[in-house]
Amino acid sequence: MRLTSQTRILLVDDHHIFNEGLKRLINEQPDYMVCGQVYQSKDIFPAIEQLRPHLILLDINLKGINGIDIGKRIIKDYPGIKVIVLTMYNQAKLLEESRKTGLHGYLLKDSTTSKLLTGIQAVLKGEFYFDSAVAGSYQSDPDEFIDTFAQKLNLTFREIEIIRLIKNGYTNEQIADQLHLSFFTIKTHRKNIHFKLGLSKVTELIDFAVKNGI
Amino acid sequence: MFRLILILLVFLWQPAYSQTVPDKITSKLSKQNIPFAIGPDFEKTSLAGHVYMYSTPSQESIHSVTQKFFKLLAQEIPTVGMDSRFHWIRYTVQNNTSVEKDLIADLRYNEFNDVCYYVLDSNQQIIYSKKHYNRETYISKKPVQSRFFSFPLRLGPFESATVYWRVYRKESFIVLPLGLFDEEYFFTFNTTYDFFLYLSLGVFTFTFLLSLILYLFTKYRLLLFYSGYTISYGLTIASMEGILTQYFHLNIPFLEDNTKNVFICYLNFFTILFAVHFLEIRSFLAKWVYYFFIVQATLVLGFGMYLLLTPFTGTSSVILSGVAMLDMLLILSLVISAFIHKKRVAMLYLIAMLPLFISACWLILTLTFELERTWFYYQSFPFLPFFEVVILGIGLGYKLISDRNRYLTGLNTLEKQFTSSIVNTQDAERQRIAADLHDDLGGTLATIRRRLSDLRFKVKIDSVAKELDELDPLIKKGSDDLRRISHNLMPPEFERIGLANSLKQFIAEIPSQPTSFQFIVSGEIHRLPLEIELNSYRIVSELVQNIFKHAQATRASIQLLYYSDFLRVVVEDDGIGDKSKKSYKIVPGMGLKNSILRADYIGASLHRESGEAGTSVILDIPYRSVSNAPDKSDQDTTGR
Repeated sequence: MRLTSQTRILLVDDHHIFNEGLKRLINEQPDYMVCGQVYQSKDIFPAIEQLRPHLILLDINLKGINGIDIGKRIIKDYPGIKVIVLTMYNQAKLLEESRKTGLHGYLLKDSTTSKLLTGIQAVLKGEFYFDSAVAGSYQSDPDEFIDTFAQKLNLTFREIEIIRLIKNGYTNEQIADQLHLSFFTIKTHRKNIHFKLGLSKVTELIDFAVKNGI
Repeated sequence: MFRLILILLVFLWQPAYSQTVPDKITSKLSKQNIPFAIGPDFEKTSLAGHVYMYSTPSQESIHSVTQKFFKLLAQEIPTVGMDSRFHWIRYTVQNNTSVEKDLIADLRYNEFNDVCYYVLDSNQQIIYSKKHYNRETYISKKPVQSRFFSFPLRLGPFESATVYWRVYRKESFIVLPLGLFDEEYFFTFNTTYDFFLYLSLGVFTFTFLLSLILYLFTKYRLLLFYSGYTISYGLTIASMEGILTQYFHLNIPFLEDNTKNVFICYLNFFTILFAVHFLEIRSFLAKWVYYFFIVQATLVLGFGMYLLLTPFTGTSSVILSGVAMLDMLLILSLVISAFIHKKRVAMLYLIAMLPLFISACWLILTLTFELERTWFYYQSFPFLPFFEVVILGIGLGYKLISDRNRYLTGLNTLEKQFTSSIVNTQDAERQRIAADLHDDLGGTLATIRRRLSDLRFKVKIDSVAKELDELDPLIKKGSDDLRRISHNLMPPEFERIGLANSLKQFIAEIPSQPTSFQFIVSGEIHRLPLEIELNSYRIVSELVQNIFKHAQATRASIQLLYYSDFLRVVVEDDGIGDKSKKSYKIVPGMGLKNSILRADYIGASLHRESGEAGTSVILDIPYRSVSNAPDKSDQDTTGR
């Protein structure tokens, strides 16, 4: 009857309660139906082969294997199938990885029903849907700290204090005294500052301080 | 001990020895009495080939003896063996120079019970005589200052004289190391000999005291055995050299000849104990071997007690020689066995015993092939033990140091294991709890929340719907808290994400009130082994928790600086430092202790300082792992 027009969804999650809850939720939607539930990673591919789902909701935390790796295989072997990661992991890095891998979405398990459905809907329309609630997900990736200008500003409050004192002609001892820190710590800080800014001389550091208004 | 062994060997080889001077030659030469000629450059002689002997059981006078038949003694150091008769020794000396010669006639064996000395001129008239000297005669009462039997012999130009000795020893072995010296040479020779002898004895005494004192401090048993070994060696030699009786008047009537035998027993006792413990035979031989040696040592000690309480007999002396030889062979077999079992100290022991064996072998060679035993050989006896004691002393020192090192290494390994077991247990437990929380409870909470919100839309009663709406943020908070807690315990997919990203995420999830956290990564990210990254993460999260809970800081920063050869993590805040604990406690809190433990575990250095301007922690983690985590080979060796 309606079977042909409905979107067939495969649920992959080893958490039984969640898996059941999700099935119930999806089956309540008129356009969607859960064609199968998989609780173990080894059952995924036989289920896909047998059930031919349109979309898979995939957990990352599966015993012995990472969901993103499975997703990668699915989209390679079955290019027509949409894969959305549905996870407890509020991890920007995992979200980024899913995006880079070519998966179609990244949703959090504890997001609201409407968000979940919005996500599924968007993906089925051919869009990508990555939950913006994932903390820090659209900040710059630490892997990409190669931009020298950005690096120059990567100074901490303490380092800026130290640079200011150096600019004002303080010696290490005086700085240590001023900031109630040990000589060793000040020396370490100075080494770190030079390392981060890629500078080797004090004069360069002072120039830098003047230019950046420290 | 050596001399006793040698005497025993001589005793065993007696038949071979007596054949060395065939009767025919003896009778031919007996009446000839070849005089020993003294030239202008004369220094010393062993008189070999000039000495004649006549043995008699009765007390004959010198006049009747001169008429008797004397037999030639051909050896350089003649051995008489166990013969309790009176032995008359005769040799004639001829001064072939035009000056008067002052000579010393010497008998370098101080065990005699009676020694008489006569000098007769060419007309058989007694021109000098000294009677009844014995092993206990004080050195001050002797005509020549020597611990042996030494008498003057003065010869005018071209004069000749015949020397007669009469020696007697009750029930024991007799060796006749005769000698004739130029007086000046004699004192030089004796002084040199004594110098080295006293040096040896001094070293023995010093070693004895040192090892005894060390024993009292360390309670290391081997030191006690070594001190017993050195002191009994020293006393044996002092007793053999006549020092005890002639200098110290240590004249215990009952002991007599037994004195040195008693010391030899003690020496053997300590030698066995020392060898058994020095070579650690229990580590490579069966238990009964160890007990066999302990019983053997106890028996020798018992024999020493027996000798102490009974009068001297030749038989007990022979038994003791046998026992001493047996012990020596037993110890040698132990040393060889230890050597086979690759005990390094066995080599030292072997070196220490070597001179004794060379001399024993040499003795057997001299007896078998009729080679001459020389004075050099005889004179070196007192110094062989010195060599042995010094080498074993070095061995003992080496052993003490290596044992200490081994102990320290063992302790260190234990400590490492302890640290790693704490860290690992903690990690395993955290991982388990995090997984339970995150994966199970988290999923359930998410389901509950969704079901509730579904329910909310089905509910038509506004008041109930409103209450359900109020419930949602609570569940959301519960879910967030759970995520935060479980992330703290164990960041999800840590191995995949790595230290820098996990920390970034961790910092991103911290509320920006009351402290704003800054997270900086600089340099090219270098992935470290999982264990090191995970422990580093834990250290940082521990420090961040501390800042969050106690520091009352407004600003804090976490930096990962990937230098070319190490990763430096700097965690800082501008908070109140250690004042937060209300008292200036130096004892670090549980969290910090944990961090220190973890830093140590991954081979990182952790520097922390806290003052008015806040707290700074610098953690340097080398890329080339010097992790304290014990690897499998370590664990195997610690089972000892």
